Amino acid sequence: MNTCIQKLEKQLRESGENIICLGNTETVPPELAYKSFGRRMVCPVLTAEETEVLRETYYMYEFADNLIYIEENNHFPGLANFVKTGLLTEDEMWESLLK
Amino acid sequence: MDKLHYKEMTDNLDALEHRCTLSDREIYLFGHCNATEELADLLMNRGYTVCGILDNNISKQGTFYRQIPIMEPANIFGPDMERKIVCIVARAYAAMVKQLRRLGYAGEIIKLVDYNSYAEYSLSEETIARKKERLERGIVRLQAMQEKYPDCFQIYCPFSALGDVYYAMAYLPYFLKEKKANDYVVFVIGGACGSVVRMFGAEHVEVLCQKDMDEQVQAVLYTGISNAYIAHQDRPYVVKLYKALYLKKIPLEMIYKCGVYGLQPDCMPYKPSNLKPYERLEEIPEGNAVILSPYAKSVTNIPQEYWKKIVEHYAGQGYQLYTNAVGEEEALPGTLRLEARLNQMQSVVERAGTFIGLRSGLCDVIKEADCKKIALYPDCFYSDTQWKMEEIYHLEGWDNIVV
Repeated sequence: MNTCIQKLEKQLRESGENIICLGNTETVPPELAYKSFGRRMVCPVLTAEETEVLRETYYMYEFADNLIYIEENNHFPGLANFVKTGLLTEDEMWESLLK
Repeated sequence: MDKLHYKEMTDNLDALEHRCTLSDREIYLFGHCNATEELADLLMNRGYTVCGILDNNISKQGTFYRQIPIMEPANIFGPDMERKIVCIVARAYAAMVKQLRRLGYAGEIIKLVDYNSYAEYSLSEETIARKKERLERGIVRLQAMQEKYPDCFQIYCPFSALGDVYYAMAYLPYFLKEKKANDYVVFVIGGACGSVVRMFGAEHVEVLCQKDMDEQVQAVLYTGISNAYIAHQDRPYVVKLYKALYLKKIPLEMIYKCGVYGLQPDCMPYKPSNLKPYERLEEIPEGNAVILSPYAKSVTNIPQEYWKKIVEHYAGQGYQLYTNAVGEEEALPGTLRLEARLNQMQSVVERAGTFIGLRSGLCDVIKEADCKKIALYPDCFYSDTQWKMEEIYHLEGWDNIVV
């Protein structure tokens, strides 16, 4: 099995927390994610290769319910739309993601 | 539950009965929803006893469906664990299995309807290989559609729900304008959703089955093609808009307007432009009839006794009553059966003068009709949120009544 997948599987299995992975740190500053998610998350440090494997697998099927992969995209709606239209604050967006 | 899913459920139940003696088992269901009620009905019609419906929603725990207790999932524990079997017809199958296993339940869990082909909580090589094959089928379909509609922006309505498709279409023109897309094709599931799309004047509509839709949507996600958009509030798994409801009460239309399309709250919806009159409109007493719509797919039914009282009330005042029914749905006693096409329904209810319906997507389809409109809601919560059904599905300009 791909070592990246093995590493991810281990983290998903062992983590009692949500795991959040940021596919685009320019749009989602990690420090903001840390601030808003508090202790309810793990933010693994991934290499570029690991991030790419994760991304490919994430868009192939839903393999876990405690992984949140975030990146800017134009193919489906995101919670940021609620921030843009004033229905949620940015902090509320992060909070609701982890509920 | 639509016909195809109902057949899938009965076929899988037949196979289960063939494989084991269900009458010797303690049967539990997981997730109280319309589909689970239909499964409970089916099991009871076949002579089985359902011991309980497991549900995480604390507001449902302690209540009953046809004398079946609705209980927290941990209540499944007890003696003779190997005799227990949990049957699931809910979309959250994978999450439910995970929850039961984490609780320590080691008994049998059966999926009788595959509502969610996206999810399988595993990273095994076998699972990944199977999902790769599924993805490749989707890519082939996606490529075929790109060849068929080379200059069209692709809009996906990935679930068969009239209300969702209605709002996806009502605000779509703003989105297309922003994308500078002159031509577009809409992908839906089932003929009824296709009708809703055509009501808004769409020229290109592709009607898919759920399996093909799931695979093609997966291909859109994976390939990241530049001219496609999934216009839905909570499907597939990458769409997390529904999570906002854990903090804020946001009605369905606002979810589409602001969440799906990023439009400002005061943006006005486009109205259906391609409506037709019902052929037999003259047979309906003008202003002196009531159209009843007692069937819905996504909300649990309200008691028959309630409908009986409505029929008696209006019949006593001289109204002619009709039941809007499709396929095998039966007309309520004391009413005439009415089968009009979706794009004719507005003319029907405007001619009749009054519409009373269980809150369903049909209510969205006729929301602009000029007549007295009453939507009935079961007194329950929307999914696992703190909001009642009525709060999320509330219709402006209607009488919204919680039964």
